[in-house]
Amino acid sequence: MPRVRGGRYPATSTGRAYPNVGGVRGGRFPATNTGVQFPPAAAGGLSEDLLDWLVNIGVFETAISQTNWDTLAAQTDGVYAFSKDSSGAQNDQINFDISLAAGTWTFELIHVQSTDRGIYDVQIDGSSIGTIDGYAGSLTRNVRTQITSVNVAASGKVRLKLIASTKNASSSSYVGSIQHCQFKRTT
Amino acid sequence: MALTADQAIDWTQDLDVFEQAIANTNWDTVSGLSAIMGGHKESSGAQNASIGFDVILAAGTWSVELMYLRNSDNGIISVQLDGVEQGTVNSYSSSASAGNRSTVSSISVAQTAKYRLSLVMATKHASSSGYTGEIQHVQLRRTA
Repeated sequence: MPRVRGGRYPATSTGRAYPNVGGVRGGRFPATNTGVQFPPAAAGGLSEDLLDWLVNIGVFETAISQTNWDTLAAQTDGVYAFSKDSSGAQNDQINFDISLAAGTWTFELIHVQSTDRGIYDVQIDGSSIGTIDGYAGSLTRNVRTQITSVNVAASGKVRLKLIASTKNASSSSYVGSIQHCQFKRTT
Repeated sequence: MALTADQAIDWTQDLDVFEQAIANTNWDTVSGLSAIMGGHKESSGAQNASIGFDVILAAGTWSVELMYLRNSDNGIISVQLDGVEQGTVNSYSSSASAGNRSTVSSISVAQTAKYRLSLVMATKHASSSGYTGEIQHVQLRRTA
């Protein structure tokens, strides 16, 4: 077990347990937080409950990483006035690094549905939390779709990924078209 | 090194309003708009329609700025933290306009904690024909 005295997550800590320390409940080191400040709530510091409960993700800037998903398209009567679209190739993806506190979250995507949209597999650190179907029989902006009861086991940085890996049987392509993302913590 | 609230809690917090809020009563209609933010979220017009956001605020002094629409059927927006009114914004005007900005300032936050910021359409201007609220964006700024 890594020695816990505050500082940085050890490189070998992934998935391993840490004990109660400084009045902070023990838990497990998250999978991707090597190098991130530890502990999450040392004595005299901030508790996890003081991490953001509402995390907004603007999608229009260049994402931390993406594959064929970086085209801005004007959307008349669309909130934010634009969408960020993928090329339509299968497995196009877009990624965002965000900090989430341990707890239960709701993910919500505002997107533009149409006849050529894919199904977006929404992943946190490579694990799917649900899918969102971008297909509709006609162009529809400002569609809001939620994935609820997303459990985050440990506070820290996670990578949110949307990947257009599949599509509705009626869709003609795998295009991704998103306007905004948001996480809301519920417990 | 443990961080303090001054180090870790944002001094500027932007609230995007188009997703479903953590709580709302008759305030969840999203429409596109040829104005800043590209849209707005509108209440039904019923008195006491409300919308809530959970935010982490550090102890200090804060301002809340609303970006909103004015119209002839819009009400007065009560800005509340955990149910306590901090100020009001009158969104009535005889003519429609978007991108209006009003700030409720000198909000004293005694303790670093999670708060529910609520906007409540509790009252209206005497000339208004309704209690509708129409917001485009919300920002909290810590000033001290």
